[in-house]
Amino acid sequence: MEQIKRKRQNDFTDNNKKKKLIFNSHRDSFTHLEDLSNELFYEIFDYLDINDIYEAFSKVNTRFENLLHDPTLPIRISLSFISKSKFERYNTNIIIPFQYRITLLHLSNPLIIERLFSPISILLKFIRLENLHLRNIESKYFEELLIHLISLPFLYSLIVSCTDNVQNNNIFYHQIFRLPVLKYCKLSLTRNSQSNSLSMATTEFSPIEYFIINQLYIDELYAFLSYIPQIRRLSIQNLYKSPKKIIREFYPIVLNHLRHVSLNIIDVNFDEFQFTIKNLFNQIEILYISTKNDRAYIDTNRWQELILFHLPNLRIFDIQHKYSFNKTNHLRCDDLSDKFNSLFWLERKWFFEHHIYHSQNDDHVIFLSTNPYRRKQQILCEETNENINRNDEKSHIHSVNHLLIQTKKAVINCQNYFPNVTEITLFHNFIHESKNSLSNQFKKIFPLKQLTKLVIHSNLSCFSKMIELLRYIPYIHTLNIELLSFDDPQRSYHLTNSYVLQQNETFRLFSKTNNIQNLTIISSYEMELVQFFVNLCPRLKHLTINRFGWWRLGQLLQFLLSKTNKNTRHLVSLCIEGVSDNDIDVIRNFIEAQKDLKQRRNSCVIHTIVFLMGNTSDDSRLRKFMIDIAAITGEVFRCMDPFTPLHQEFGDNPDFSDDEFVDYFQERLRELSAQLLQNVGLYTQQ
Amino acid sequence: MAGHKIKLQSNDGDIFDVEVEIAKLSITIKTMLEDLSMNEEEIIPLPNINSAIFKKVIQWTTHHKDDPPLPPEDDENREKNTNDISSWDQEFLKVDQGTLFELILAANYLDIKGLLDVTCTSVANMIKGKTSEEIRQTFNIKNDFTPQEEEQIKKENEWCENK
Repeated sequence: MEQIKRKRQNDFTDNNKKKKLIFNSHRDSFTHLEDLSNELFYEIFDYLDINDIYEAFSKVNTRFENLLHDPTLPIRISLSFISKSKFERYNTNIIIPFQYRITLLHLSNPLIIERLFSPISILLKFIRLENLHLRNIESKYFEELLIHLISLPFLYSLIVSCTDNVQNNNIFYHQIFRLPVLKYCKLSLTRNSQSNSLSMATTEFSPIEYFIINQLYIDELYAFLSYIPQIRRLSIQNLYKSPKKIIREFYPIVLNHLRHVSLNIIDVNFDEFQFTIKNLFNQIEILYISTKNDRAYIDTNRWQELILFHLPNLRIFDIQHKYSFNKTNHLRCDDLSDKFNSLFWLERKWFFEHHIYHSQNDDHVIFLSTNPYRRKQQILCEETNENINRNDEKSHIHSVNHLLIQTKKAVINCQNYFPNVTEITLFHNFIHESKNSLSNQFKKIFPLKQLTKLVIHSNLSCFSKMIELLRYIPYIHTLNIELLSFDDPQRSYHLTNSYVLQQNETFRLFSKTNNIQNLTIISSYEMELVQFFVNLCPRLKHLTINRFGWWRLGQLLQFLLSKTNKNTRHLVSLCIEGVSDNDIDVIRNFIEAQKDLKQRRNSCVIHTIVFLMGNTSDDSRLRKFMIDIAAITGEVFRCMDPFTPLHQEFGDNPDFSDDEFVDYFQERLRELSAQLLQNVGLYTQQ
Repeated sequence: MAGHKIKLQSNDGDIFDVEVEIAKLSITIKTMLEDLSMNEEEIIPLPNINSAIFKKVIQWTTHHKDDPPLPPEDDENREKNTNDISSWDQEFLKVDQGTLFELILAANYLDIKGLLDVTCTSVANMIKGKTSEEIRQTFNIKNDFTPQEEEQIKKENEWCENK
């Protein structure tokens, strides 16, 4: 990898040097910000939005003024949801004048994308653009953009996700393959069925070296790869079998550079997979494969033969195979482990484990590689064969940052240490079985102090243990609680106990010191539990609640918005999932009270309410409406209907008192039909 | 070879015995050892770093010696994020401004990308959201504009203030 070290160059003017010396003579001997070279400032600026840079340094002194106007200073723009007026200022003062300096554009709001590239030919002015990342755009629009991207001389990275179904992927592939210097492409296009066949490449080849694609049919692979002979790393997030009759025509393709392949196989059988490996992937060194159900994928003999004869360079083999669990399968597990424990596997230091995974709906077994272990998540649960690959000393697993802990036994038996874990998920069995302190158990397998996120699936009995644990997690910023209602005969007792707990010294101390900003509660219990957690986390910014319970919505809103509730003074967003029709009136009243609310409180805390609307059809108007509102408010509607684009997170800086927002919001509401508004519970704003 | 040590000398004369594998996290030292065929018995001088800062650098590299390298494509396409500081690094960087800037200079001189990233991120966090006046106060920067220059700049940047 090329080193990015920036050479220290004292390239200030003599005049500036003199000034600097004069300043230093008046100061102490400590190093100051101004002692850093311009190149180091560029390095720091990489972490800042250009707006922050200009706001901070535009009037500081001559040196910084010159630095900001240095035409070689690259500008990186990353925009998701900002208010319309703010965006217009940004566009007029930063983007348009400095188009020629912009090297990175990361845009995730379709409205901003369309506004920014209007007219679309304006793209041609981004002559230094290297990295373009567009999320949530319509495929038709992406198609138009692609025509212009071909003229950008430095565009080496393209990441695009489209929101709608695409009829013919080949149109996009052809355009992408024509981009002259593209090295990295991550593409997410959804389609219901396979497009017409992509023809094999003959004269036109792409320089792409890294390709990550969300879905592909296995018989498309040959033609697809024929366009990218420089490919070094390929990742297919969903590889499907061909709906067509399998025709095993062999197309000779040479992929000399392909070293790393990562496949999530949906329904391709092992025979097809094997054929592909032999003909396309025979030079690879690293194979990550995720499969399910087809037991041929855990046939040790087939793998040994394939690896010995067709994958001579394979260094890393990482498999994860999942199948449903029953008694017959369970008996086979131990047998299987023995087969994957033979000399062939040991010589290569490829080890495997079986895990039984219990969930509320399904029990299944996961057979997976443990070494080399590269996954970011690991489940600690019962192993079917406890003697497998045990070493006396704990192995350090550096890649894992999220541990899911199912049973106490799994923690005790865990032979690994996870130094980089920042997130843990605790399941009910584990909490229920653990009579002693949770923190003591965890210290043996990961450093507690660095956790930032805790997820708990348990019942009310977990509270005291949870609070004891939280004391040892000073940096936690996200807490997700799913309270299960089953297996809890002592519900009333625990509820009472939750009141008692709030008087506890540990509770009070943690409540004063913690910095939990994100809280999600999924519960069918009384609203009082929300109060418990809000009292526990007084610096809360984002609250998500699932509307499973029978608690009264009005009461909840009153509690959260009460002027006297100091524990919600930092709250900037509230997400209520699963709102029913009966709640609409309550929400209407709430929205009507918004103006009064603004007057009653110094700052209006509730900005956006999110609803599970329950619509099952792909209503593009509704989606657009939600996106519009999000764009205008500077905040995000985290809409839970299946057709709303994912990854819409809460923004940091909502502008609650923006009159322009209110006007625009009301104007948009007038444009929409009454029925549509009723669907989202906003009709009364008119 | 794990455990094998080399001697490194700070600019105030202190000599540090550092494991080769840890020292090689610095591309500058790695290059000296490998390309310049420096004898491992020789004391390698580090003329730009004092012993207090070098101790901090060794502390950081020792903690991060087993960090898995980012795959090249992740590294190139990763968007730099100011929330990316681990809790250990946050504790490590609870230092005065002078030390923080010295660490940046040391990381740059020694070419330790991870340390440079995390220290620059930390400074970026100090800058984020501040006005120019707050920047001057926070970092003790003198305003050297003439009144005329200041007026001109104010006009040019009016849009920043009309937020």
